[in-house]
This record gives sequence, C-alpha cells and structure tokens, in this order.
Amino acid sequence: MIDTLYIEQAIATHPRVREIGLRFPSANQVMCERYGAVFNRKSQNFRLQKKNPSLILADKFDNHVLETPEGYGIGGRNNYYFAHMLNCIYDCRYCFLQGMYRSAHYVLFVNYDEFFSAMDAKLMAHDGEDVWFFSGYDCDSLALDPLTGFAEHLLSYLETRPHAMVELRTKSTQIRALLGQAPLSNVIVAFSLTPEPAAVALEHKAPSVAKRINAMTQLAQNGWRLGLRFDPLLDDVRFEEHYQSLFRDIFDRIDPACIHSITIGPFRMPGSFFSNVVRLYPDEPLLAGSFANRDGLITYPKEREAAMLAFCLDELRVHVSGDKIFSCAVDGRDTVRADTESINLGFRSSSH
Amino acid sequence: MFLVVALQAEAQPLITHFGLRCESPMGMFRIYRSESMALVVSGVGKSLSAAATGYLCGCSDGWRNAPWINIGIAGHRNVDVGELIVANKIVDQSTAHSWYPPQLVSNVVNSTLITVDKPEESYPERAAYDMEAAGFFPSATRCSTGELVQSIKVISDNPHQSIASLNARSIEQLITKNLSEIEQFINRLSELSIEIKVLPHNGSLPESWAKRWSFSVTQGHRLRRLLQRWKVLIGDGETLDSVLGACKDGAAVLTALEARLNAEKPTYRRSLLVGPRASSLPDVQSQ
Ligand code: SF4
Repeated sequence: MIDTLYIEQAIATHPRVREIGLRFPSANQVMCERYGAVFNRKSQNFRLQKKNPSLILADKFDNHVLETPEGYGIGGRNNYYFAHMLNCIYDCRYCFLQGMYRSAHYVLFVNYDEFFSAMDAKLMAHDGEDVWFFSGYDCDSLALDPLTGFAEHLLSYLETRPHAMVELRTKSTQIRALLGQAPLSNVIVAFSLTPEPAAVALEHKAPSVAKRINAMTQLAQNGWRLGLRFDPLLDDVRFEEHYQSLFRDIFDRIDPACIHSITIGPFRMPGSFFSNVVRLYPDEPLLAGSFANRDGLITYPKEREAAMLAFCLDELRVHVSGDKIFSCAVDGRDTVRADTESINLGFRSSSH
Repeated sequence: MFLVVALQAEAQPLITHFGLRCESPMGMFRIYRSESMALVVSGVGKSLSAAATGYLCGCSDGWRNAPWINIGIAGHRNVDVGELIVANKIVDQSTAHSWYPPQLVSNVVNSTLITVDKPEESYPERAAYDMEAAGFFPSATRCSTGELVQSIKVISDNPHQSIASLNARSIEQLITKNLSEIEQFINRLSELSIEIKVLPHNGSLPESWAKRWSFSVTQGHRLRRLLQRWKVLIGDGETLDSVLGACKDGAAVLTALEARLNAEKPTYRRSLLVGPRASSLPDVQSQ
C-alpha cells in the first residue's frame, strides 16, 4: 500500500503516472520539482522510512545504461547495467541499498523508452556482438512489476533485439509477464538465493526460498533460462549443512540443463555503507559477526571467505559443470579456484 | 519530545493537557517542561520559529533523533475550520524553497503548507498557510531525522471564515478540540523515535569499569560498538569480567573484546513456520 505518491511536476500528465495514480486512489499526491529533493535530502532515516515507504515517480534524464566495472559479467564481453527503479519492496538486512541511500522510498523512472533507446545505442556501438544488460542492481527486477509493468515492455523490446542479452535479477515470484509469453533466449531470469534459515532471519518480506524455487520451476517448464545467484554467501555456524541443503532443494526440482549460469559472491560492502547499516541496525546479529576491512571493503576474514567459496564451488560442481559457475572474491585469483570462471568483484557490494 | 509553538494561546491547552511547567520565564524564549516533553513559545514568524527551535535544543538534553513537532493554527483554502492537518510539503513562499517531511503516521489529513511572511487572506492555492513551518523544519532537522520532524496545524480560517475573527480564546478552543488527535500523533512519533534511539557514548559499560580504564574518543566509539556486538552475540551467557579481568588499559580491553567476539558466529535456525524441508514447496503466487 502506498500512502504518499511524490510526482515530478514535469511528468504529472505522463500516461504512466496517471495510470499509477489511479492504482492508489486514496494516496496523497505531492508534486516536486526533481525526485532528488525528496530522495536525496539529508536527515532521513532508512529504517524508519522502510515502515511505510512512499513511491516517487520520476523522469531519468541521463545515464540510463552504465558500463559495469571492468571484468564483471557472466561470460560476455560487453557488459552494462541499468535500473528503472531505486530501492526495493523487500527488506534484506544485508542489502547495500540501505547503506547507500538515505531514503527508503521507491523511485520509479517512468520514461522506459529512454532506457530502451540507450540500450539501442550500446547495441549500435557493439554492432553484431552480444551486449549484456544487467537489470536489478539498484532494485529487484520483478518485485514491483505488477505495478510498473516494466518487464512486459522490456520483453517486447527484446523480442526484436537478439543481441541484447538481459539478466533480470530477482527474489520475487512476480513472473506473470514471463509466463504469459514465449521464452526469449536472450533473457536470463536470475534468482538470488540464501539458505532458508538465513532467508527467514534476514530477507524480510521476500518470498520464501521454497516459493522462489517453485517460480523457477515454472519458468524452466516454460522454457526460460535461469540463473542462480548465491550472492552474498552468508556465514553461519552450520554454513556447510545449510548450503548443501539449499543446493539439494534447488537441484531436486530444477534440471541443470535449464541453468544458464551460477554466480557465487561472498558478503562484501563498502565500509561507509556498512557503517550506515550498523547505525540503522546495531542489534542485527549478521552485522555483529566477524568481518575484516580489506582496502575499505567489509568482508568476511580472507581465510574464511576462501573456505566458504571453495565449499560452495565443490558442492555446485556435483550438480553443474564448472564452466557455468562464476565466482568472485575480493582478492581475485588467490581465493578463487582455477577450475571455475573467475569474475572481477565488480560491483563493490554483494548484490541480492 | 519537543514542541515548538508560536503563540501563548496555541501553547496553553498543550501546557495544561501535558502538565508542563514554565522553566525560564526570563529566558530568550519561554520554555515549559515535563519529564518527557519540552515546549517553547517562539512568537510569530519563521525566523523566530527557527531561533526558538535552536534555543530549545541548546537548553535541552536528549534532542538527537527525538520527535520535534511544530503545532499551531493555519488557514486553508479547502479545509474546514477545526480540522487538523499535517504538512507533507512545506514551501517557503518568499524563497520558493520546499521541504518534504516524510509521512509515517497516518491518523491526520495531509496537506501542503505554505509559510508566508504576512497573513494570507485570499488562499490562492489548495494548501494551508502558516507563518512558521519553513523556519522550524530546516532548524529542527539539524537535531533530528526528518521523519520525526513534523508540522501539524489546526485550520483556523478559510475563505468562509476570516482570519480577522480569531482571538486568543478561539485559538485555544481550536487547539483544545484537537488535543486527542494531537496526542495520538505525538505518541506514534515517540514510538518511532524509540526504535532509533541514540545510545550513550560508553554503551553499557558498567560504571566501575569506566573508572578502571580510560578511553579516547575514538576508542570510546569502538568500545560502544564492541559492547553492542557483545549484547547481540553473547548477551548474558558470559560475563565481561571473564574476558577483561586481566586487561591493563583501554587498548587491551578493546583487543580482548574483539578477539572474543570474532570467535562468535550468528546461528540461523530452520524456521518452525516453514516446516520440514522436502514437503514445504507451496504453489507459486504470481499476482
Ligand atoms: S537485497 Fe535485493 S531483494 Fe533484498 S532488499 Fe535489497 S534489493 Fe531487495
């Protein structure tokens, strides 16, 4: 439920704004000049706002599509990311967004077509080559889709651009737009997963792991290619048992042939974001655990991180061939095994 | 809880209702207090409101991340006299600068609130008009987070009922009529503020320990966090004494605490609600 809708004055008559306004007839509509005047203001508390976030409807002027950090990707050469939304309806305690943004309000950029034009420009720049676009870095790609309808627009755009490869990153079960049409070979629906006990403790408001696996099963049955994202890996006294059990739950239901790629990323967060999150949740056990500061990045201690990665790689290779597995670690090769693809840590935060 | 009110007539019903006592009749501004609340009477206008907010902060403890509320009367083009509104947008008419107090409490009608330098009698916009909020809000958000800084106004005049008909008695009556809603609003903000209460510098270090070792400011910050971690990961399961007994100075305390805490890991247990692993895969709910 949205109680307050902030709307940039300049897009007040945009059809998508009107449509969304009608979905919340009793919400207070507040006009603003630019979304930043609401979203980026100092003196805001993410934790309090998360109790009742507002929706901000905005126009994105520039930087619709950005280059990923060098080396980041799942096998492709040309890698970009984009976010049609900022923030997320779920509330994962390890989420870097709560350390990065001052506000927990959702921002929806309604000018979808400009995202697609920017993607076209990248396709032109890499004429004839596959170009990867990662969605869902600053939000969950599908969670608010029943409201935004973004996936449907994106899929219809992608139908005629076979070189545009898109990863939709999600914890959501909002897959109606996907199930409603024939699968596209240039779309990977990548689900973020943690063992169920950690998910229950930390991924507030997100669908259970079981529901996510069920959604993956349906997508696989309908021919969609899947990604598995174990990022962040979360330590726990029964780490091995919990991850073993998670992998078993997944591969009991999902045919490995439907898996396009798997990525594993240890917990990592820039120090300043981490401090912000600790300030918001000083009593959170996850954040009270043992961490190291490696060049400004908060991670598990190096040896522990390497052991966690090695364990998961071994376990996953029981189910899936190594060339589908991509792993990343802060120190690169010295903690990533040589028999799987190593990717740059890339985004300096483990990303849902 | 801190209240900033322009007029004595607006303040009086609050002073009586909350049992506040006048603290400094000779000060720059008049302050009234109880154990849990302080109220300042600012006078009319945004500059006085900003100054009184700063003054109240300077004269008080516990102001960080506490609720700060500006309460008073306002005119409105479309709202009936006697209704209570909360500002979801504050506009300083003279500078066109706007602020957006985040709204987390839903028992009060929302409105834009325009702060004017002279009383507004033609109500050109669908908004409330006052003379203080644009001074109060930026000042109070230096003390507290925006969610807890709010302007609530009882509508006192509109195109059908002129501002000229107001007097001290009618203003008191307008506020009195809304005391219960105002109190509900205040209580809800208080509950929210508890959740983000700022902890004291030395965390929960027992007094005897604080006397035994001294800590620099930086060490104090580290200590506070280590004690928070202790509470979360170890709690009463072990005494601090068992770890710190042999420490000679503050630095040794920090090292010993850190080493002990780093040996702990969180434990996530399989949820009882979810039931056994293999049989709990529900149907997908794709809305
Ligand atoms: S980690 Fe992902 S799913 Fe969780 S709150 Fe953040 S963006 Fe949403």
